[in-house]
Amino acid sequence: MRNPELQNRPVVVSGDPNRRSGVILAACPIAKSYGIKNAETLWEAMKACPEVVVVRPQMGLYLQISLQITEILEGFTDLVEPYSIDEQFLDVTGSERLFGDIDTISKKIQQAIYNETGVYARVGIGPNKVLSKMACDNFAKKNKQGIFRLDQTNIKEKLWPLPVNNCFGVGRRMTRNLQRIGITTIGELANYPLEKLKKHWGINGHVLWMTANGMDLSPVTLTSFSQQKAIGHHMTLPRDYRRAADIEVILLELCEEVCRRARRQHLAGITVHVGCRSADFDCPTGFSRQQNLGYAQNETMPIFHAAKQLFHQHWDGEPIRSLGISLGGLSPDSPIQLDLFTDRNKKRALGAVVDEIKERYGSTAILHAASLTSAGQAAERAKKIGGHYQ
Amino acid sequence: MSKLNRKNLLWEGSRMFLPEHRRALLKQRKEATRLTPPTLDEQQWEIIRYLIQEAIEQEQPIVATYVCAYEIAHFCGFVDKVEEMDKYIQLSNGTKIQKIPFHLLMDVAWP
Repeated sequence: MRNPELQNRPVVVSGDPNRRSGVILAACPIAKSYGIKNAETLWEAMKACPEVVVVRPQMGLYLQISLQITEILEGFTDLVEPYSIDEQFLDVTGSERLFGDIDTISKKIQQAIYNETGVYARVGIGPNKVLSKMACDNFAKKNKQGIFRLDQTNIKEKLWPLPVNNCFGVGRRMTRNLQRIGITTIGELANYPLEKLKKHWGINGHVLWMTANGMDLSPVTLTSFSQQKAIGHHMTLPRDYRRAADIEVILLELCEEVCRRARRQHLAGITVHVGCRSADFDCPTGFSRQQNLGYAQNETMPIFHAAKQLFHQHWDGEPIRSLGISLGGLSPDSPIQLDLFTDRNKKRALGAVVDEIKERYGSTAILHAASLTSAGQAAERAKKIGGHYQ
Repeated sequence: MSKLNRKNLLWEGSRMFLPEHRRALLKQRKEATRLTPPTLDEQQWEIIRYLIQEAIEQEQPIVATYVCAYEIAHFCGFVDKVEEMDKYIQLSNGTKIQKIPFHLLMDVAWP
């Protein structure tokens, strides 16, 4: 679209091959025809297709186009719920008299997006969100028109024969679990006794059964992302981190980012959550634990100390591949819990000054000294959005 | 089934949303609610001019209605000055001074 020379060539988007981000983030249909798959390493892709053109991600541009598409969709209905950077739900129930039946609306949407952004959008149609999502992922992305309708009239014929991992909500681990009890297709999941699924996986089992049967009670909502329940940051590290001191540097950087975001939104959190995954792919270990802080706060250092304690309590000593921190139980930060032994006002003022400097001169204008060690990632991370270059 | 009517939980739990994306979306939504001031016709301007003139001569306060970014605002005060060059009117009421650009002005009335 931006570079017409690439139009008929195999193109992949990939991060830096020298870092962990050197995996295939997206591949065009021509590249996929060579057998290149998303998430495989760049060298595997180059082996499959030596003439592949590698482009670097441009997250800033993707964000801008995603927002532009949201605006286009809002021209068709006021009920638009962005689900991720490249997926949005629309409820067009009230728009049919204005724009025509559902198939006509779908074509109009596809055309409008193409005309204004050059992006070829795929449309999954369904009576609810889960069917429209599965229609899009499993069919619209694979057929020529890029539009597919999935409802109770064709679910048995189209959806049920598919492997169970194509069902929304069934990941790698769940696929293994389901296969273990003899479920290999979505149809087998749909027809499996509900009580048994509930016994195995509780409410999650019930939700999966509903999904396989094309049932979903979720509304298309405008408020889902405006209310925030937690603020978190997660990072896949460029190399395995083995030393506790190095991991603590990352913990501190993540805490700083989380707290800065909380302070910007005038929120404070009462629980801190730490999660990590070990480097061993075949036998991954790791943990996900949280701790109550006693009272809501958003100052970096106390949250870092709590996160550090939590980490050391649960870390098995294995090298770390990824690490994440989040602050939950959010509430407005205006009422302050006073502390007899520490001057919280001083800490708040320090946080405010750091934020102000970062806001004005960029997020690397002021850093913790630890970030300047070889373990630090803050400077590199500042150049990225969502772990990929802007 | 009522236990399963979990509103949007199914999608909120699985959603991949970048903080930068969320911030930009909220900003875009907010911008969409920004008000555009109405275009007043010559007659409406004539009435506004007359009322301002009267308010200055009689040293009486007036209520100005104007567009303030995302909402319609009202301000009651005495006319301090009318800046023809910089195209604004300044009102004050003892506690606050308010400058209102002509292009944001919607109406002027007696309190």
